[in-house]
Amino acid sequence: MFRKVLIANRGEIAVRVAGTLQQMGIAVVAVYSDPDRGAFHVRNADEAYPLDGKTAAETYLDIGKITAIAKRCGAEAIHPGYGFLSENAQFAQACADAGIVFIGPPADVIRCMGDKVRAKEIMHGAGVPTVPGWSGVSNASAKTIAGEAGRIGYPVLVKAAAGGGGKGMRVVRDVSSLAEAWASAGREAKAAFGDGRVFLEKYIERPRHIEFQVFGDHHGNVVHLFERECSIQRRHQKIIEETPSPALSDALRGRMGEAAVKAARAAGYSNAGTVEFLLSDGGEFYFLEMNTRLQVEHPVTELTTGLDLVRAQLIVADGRPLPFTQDSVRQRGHAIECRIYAEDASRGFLPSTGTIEAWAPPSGPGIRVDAGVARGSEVSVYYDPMLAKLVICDETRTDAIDKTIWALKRFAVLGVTTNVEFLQCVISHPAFRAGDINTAFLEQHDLTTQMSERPHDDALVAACVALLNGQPDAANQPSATHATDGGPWQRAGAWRSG
Amino acid sequence: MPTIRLQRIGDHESETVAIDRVRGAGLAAGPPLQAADRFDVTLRGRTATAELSATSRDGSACLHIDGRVVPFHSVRRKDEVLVWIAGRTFAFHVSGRSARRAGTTAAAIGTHLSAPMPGAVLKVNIAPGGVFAAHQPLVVLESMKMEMTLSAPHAGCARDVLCREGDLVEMGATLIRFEDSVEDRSGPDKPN
Repeated sequence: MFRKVLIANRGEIAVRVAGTLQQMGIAVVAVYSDPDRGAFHVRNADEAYPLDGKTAAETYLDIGKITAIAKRCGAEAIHPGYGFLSENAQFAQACADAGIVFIGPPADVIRCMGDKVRAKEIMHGAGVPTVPGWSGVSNASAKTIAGEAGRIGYPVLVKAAAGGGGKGMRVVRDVSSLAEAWASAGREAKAAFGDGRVFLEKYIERPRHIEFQVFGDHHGNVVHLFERECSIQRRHQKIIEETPSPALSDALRGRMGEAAVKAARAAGYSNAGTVEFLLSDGGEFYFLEMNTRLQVEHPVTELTTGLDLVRAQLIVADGRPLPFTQDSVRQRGHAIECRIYAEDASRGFLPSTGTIEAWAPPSGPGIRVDAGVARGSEVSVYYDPMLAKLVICDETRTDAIDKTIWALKRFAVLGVTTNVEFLQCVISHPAFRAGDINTAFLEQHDLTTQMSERPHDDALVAACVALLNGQPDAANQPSATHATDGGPWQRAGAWRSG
Repeated sequence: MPTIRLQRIGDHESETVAIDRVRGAGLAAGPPLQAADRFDVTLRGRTATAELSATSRDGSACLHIDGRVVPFHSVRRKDEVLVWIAGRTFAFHVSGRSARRAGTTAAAIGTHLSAPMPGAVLKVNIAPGGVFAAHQPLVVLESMKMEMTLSAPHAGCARDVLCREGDLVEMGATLIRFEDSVEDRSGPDKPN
């Protein structure tokens, strides 16, 4: 096994991977950008080296800097986490060229699956069902694009060929907004992935997003580790994931699992990956894409299978066979993950920046918090606004929902606006509880209105106490006045004294 | 009896809370409140007995209000206080008589286009003096790799363009100032 591994990432995933590495007796090397000098992931490493720069492009996306650091410090392998270079074939190749093990699939597999168009062709050829679409060509005329969109039939989805995470993606309902969507998706894709190619796909209304965790090794074994339902999304980005999916019968789960393994075999896959499917109302499923990395939501699989997927990744990368077989893996209980984002749900999920001034995550049996921040951490504009993942496991879906609500109500964060309250609204919604969910859930149900309720009376008292507590001059500040009468506030309130 | 008027940021109404220290270590002295201090608290004409049972340097604290246990976290800023309580967070403006009204007419009518999030200016589609139609994309912002198109809230004309491509802007920064509309409905004295 490796003695030293570099983690080419930041935030919660860098912290989570570091934990497993250290448990396996492997030294952890962190890298960091200028704004991340004191970041949580750096504090959790054994060694840390600067990437000199601020933006993702000049730091966590700089292949040359990262491989040079790995060489210099003697790291034998690199774990890419998710995002950044995790699905970058050039990076996997650069590692191979430098004699460093890339913890993930081979470069050519990443290249094939990262090109959403080629991936679809391969899956189509292997007999895995795919969504109708048009591959797109560079410098296609507006007329050609409109013609193809018309042939597929509106609504269509403009997608980045190198895409992921909802970036470079636009839903187009008629021809009038097609050209602008094509151009802006291309720009966004260029900025996020360095590849501006986009293509068209039939937009399936209100599908469920069901993905299967797959794992392959260098000995010809491919195993699936059941599904994750990731239908609750905003801006095409998942915010709540769970397993098992309330939508799958054992028979459908069996067929989709077989298709996922077939897809992984067709791709020549090794290490951890995810096969994403769209599941229509009618129970038809289509291959969407394959993610050639560890997913953000992998903990729900871990909590219900009892496996450590990062440990398995290390074992496979070390050339050993998978530590489990299809027959030996079992799922038990129900797990739900909530992504805690620094964003304002009541203002269109706009990212929020600032300093984390209070940070008190919940804990207890079946409650896991993978965090990338701590009290005092700065949340900057430079990187993804996800702060942490709250992952809950219990015997049944109902138990897991109740526990998630409890845990969210005890997750205290101050300093940046978070989506914690919004997540409570989603999880508490009767439709969510009933398992009646699809990718348009947040558009169908307006949940932000629940959040604009007037403050709890206790909050007003707590605010006053906070102002008076340990602040000697509070009463003398212009903000505090002395009461003359109770006039303006004497309407009956809900505050009960008991 | 110290009385504090709080206005939730973004709300129009404010609430007043009176705190009357009746028992505790330094009961004659007034603030600051300390752990184990007990006091009467009056809100909307109702009074309850409360005790500050614990405080911690990290901003966490616990109140007992007529026997109910109420843990909370708080952060104080200049004229604001942030409170986390029972799974919800609130930002209050601590105000005296000059209660500020959030979302004033000027902003609602649209005298300018401001940045709804901090980020980088990717594209500016209008020049000073440029005329635009309602919903016309004026500025494209990028933050955390997410692109956001800011469109004109109404038809009009740009008086000043205060950002350039590549600029980093703060949330709320004015990006484009519009010419006054013909009707000029945005007088500061217009009642809400």
